[in-house]
Amino acid sequence: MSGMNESPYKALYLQEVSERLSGIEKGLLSLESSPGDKTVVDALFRHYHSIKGMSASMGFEAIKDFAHLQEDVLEGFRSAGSFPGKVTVSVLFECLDALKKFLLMVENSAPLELDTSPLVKRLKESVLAGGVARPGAEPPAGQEGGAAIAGSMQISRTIKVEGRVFDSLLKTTGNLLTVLSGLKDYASIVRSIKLKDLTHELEKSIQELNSDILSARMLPFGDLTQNLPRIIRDISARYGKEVNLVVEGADITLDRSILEGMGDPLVHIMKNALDHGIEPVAERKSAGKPERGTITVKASQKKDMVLVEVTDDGRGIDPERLRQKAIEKGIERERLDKMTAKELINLVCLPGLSLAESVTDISGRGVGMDIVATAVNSLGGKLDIKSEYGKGASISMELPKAASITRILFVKTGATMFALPISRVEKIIMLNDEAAGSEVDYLGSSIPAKRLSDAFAVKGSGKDRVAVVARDEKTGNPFAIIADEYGDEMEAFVRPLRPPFENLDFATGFTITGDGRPVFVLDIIRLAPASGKGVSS
Amino acid sequence: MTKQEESSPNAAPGNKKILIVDDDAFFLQMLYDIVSKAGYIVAGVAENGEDGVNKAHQLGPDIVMLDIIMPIKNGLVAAKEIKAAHPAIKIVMCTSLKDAMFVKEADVCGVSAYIKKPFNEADVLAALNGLDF
Repeated sequence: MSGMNESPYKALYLQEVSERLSGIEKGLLSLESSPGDKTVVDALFRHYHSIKGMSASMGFEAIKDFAHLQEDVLEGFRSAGSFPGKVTVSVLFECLDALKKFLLMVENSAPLELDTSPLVKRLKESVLAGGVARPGAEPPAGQEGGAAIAGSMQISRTIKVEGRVFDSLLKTTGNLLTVLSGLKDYASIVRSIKLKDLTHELEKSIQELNSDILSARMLPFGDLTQNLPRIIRDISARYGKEVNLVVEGADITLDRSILEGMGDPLVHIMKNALDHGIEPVAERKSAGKPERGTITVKASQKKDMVLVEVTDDGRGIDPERLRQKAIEKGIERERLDKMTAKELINLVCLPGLSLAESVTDISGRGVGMDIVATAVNSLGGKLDIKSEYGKGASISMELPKAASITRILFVKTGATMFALPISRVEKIIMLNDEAAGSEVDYLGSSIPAKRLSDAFAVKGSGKDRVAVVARDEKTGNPFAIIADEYGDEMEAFVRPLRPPFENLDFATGFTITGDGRPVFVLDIIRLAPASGKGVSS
Repeated sequence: MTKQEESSPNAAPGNKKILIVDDDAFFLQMLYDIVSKAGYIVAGVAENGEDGVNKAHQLGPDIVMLDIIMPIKNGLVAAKEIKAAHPAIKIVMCTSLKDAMFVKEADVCGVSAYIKKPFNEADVLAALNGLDF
């Protein structure tokens, strides 16, 4: 049916096809490990058949034809009672990738432009080259295969909502909280009980809304790990390593932004484990290890954090080599001598201390654990590495379970960057070059002002271009903080302070900028002139 | 479609109950929308042949719309079982299989009408209206 592309069925189509694609992936993976399973061939056939039918209904001819071909291939094996061989399965994997690309085009309402003819040609050739004759026992005849299909009818129970809707909801509640905080300040200034009560009611509702949205944003860890078998398969096939993947804690939920953000680090850690951790089969044999390596990905909850551990039974990290490398990179021997084994291992998170023996195209050059550490930090998490040389390594990411996103404004004084929570900023005033002093004009009167560079005893540039106005919580009086310039406004994960900084009372936490630098998020109220100098220490 | 309803003597969907059986939520939803908009009562939906047979027993529909390629029990086997237990139920097959492959077998199974996937609203209603009660 043409003209249905933007039909009400599109969301359902996307959801159903993507479930089918997951089914295909599972099926192909299981054909690789146990090639003679008729129920798998049947299930695969149904998946392609279904994608063909749905695509035809939506008018997606290119997808229909492509799926149809694969359906025919499977039907051929089904009716001949044979099974796709290694090469065919491999080409089917590539076809699966093409189907995924098609689906993405549909999702983005992009034209379905993908040249599948080389794949089609190879698929046909591989089939002509012959399937695998029926190995093993023949399953009961005359019955459709009963391979479990996980997909269930989800018409009424769930609604498909684009992820960005939730991002936008979170942003909106963020704004609401900002407005609320202004309203609360105002209520305390005008001393109206009625206004205070109303504000309080509003606050309760906004908090409720906020927590509902935060919980609606939660997704199971399994959503991320379902992609891992394929990644492992592709890499281990290429490098002749044999690996079992074990996933635990797939039902632990995390905020989607955190889940999304940890995707790349997780894949990189997995690639590292496969590339550098798991030894080639021969080496494992001589070390008395099982030929197949094992990589375990485990999620567990720890209060409001989620711990994701990737453990492999490979060769681990050689502490001596790491030490040598650290010395080459200019870290003093005395410092290294004082380090505990744990501190030493965690040095691999420093730029340039990757221990790869050779540069391979798996984990690549230059992208080392330092990038992983930065990515994890910027999510408000912490990376930790344990290793027992010869026995394996374990990389753990401790990540916040829910999003804690605060809208912040960066300000700069000299070379130092600080972040201010926008909710506390009343106004930003641009200053004349010569104007900065201990007072600033605001709303027709002079208000006390303080230079950030003085408050923190950092080197200022003396430019004093901007004054950020906030109000003293107790007195309601405005005051200004002077900085050289202000930078971006952004939504940031604010991380709690960690030792040795946990007692700094001028900062509520810190955030990591896009380029990996930590920046203190200031508790602006503490900088009010009346409440003193608390920052001199 | 109102035209078709008027022109066909059998087009009195108001009291006809339909059970829809398809393993794709996509087609379930489409068929559900089309037939309920036309005034049929959707007695239930099922996602595989076995579930379909069970629901046919429970719900006593007038019409069962069946996909063929489904897990656990395919549509042809389901049709045969439903027909054996409830000869009055009309079976409508919805399929994208090539005709020759199954028409003969479907006849044996007591199928009254076919809808070829991909279908549109008119295809579905024409097949339903053509049923001889």
